[in-house]
Amino acid sequence: MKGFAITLDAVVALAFFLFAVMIIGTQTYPPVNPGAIYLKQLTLDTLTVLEKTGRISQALDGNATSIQQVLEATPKLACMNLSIIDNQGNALISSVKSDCNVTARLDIQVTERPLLYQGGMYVIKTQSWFRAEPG
Amino acid sequence: MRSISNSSHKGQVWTIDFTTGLLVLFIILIIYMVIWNGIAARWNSYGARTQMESSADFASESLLATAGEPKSWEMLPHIDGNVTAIGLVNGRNELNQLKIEKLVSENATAYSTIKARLGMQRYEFGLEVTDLGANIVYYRFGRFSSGSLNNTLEFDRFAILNNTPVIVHMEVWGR
Repeated sequence: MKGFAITLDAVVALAFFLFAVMIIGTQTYPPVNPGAIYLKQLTLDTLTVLEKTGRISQALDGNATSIQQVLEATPKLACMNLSIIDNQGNALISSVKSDCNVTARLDIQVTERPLLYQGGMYVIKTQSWFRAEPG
Repeated sequence: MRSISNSSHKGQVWTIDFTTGLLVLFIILIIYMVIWNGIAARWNSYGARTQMESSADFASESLLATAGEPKSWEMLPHIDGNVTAIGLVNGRNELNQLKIEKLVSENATAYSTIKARLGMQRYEFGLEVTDLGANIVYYRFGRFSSGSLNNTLEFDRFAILNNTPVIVHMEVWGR
């Protein structure tokens, strides 16, 4: 009986120990994306640059390649999708950075900015996210 | 006679039990310490990285969203105590060529002062202005790690130079 009590005591102690090790072992980095602020800055930069260099206006006039050129120049880790939407909610232009089609289970930042062009109201909408790690 | 012999054995068993228990306790303590040290090292490294990122964010925002203080600091003979903040733009993301040229020309003499004004005394800092393809370097300021260190933070931002989009590539790294 005494031997049984000691064995039980040891098993309980070992279980506590393993549980504690498991708890401590799983305390890794907090699951935050360290580049979230940077991604927001990059998105706002892109919008500002496109707007101030007249590339948004060019796109509304039918030449959207200049938008694509800037999207492609964003760093490899970032993905971006830019749409220009009219006041009816129709997407007139939509440009996505190449090789950025996978968005499932990723955190996506959305930014919208109003634009007045030739008497029409538009909304420039961007979606940005970090490229999915391969594998 | 028999009872004396039994008592002697019992005492020996308890001593072995105590010693084994103590040994196991020490092993457990050592395992705890090793795991805890590993976690502490990871958290310290994470904290240092976050701090570096914050400094880099503030510095890049100061450079690309403000004109600096005084606003015409580029007109002063040197970047010294009279310049309290460094900024490179007229409006948000619109680079002022005179400000960049002044920054680059003061690289050799005022590098530390410029870093201090950007809040990055603890780090090294490099900045490059290139075209969208990163093929042509228009301006280069500061020090670069040449990719030799793993505690380097590299990031690109967009700006406008002469009405053309350009990449402002920045590198922040620890000694």
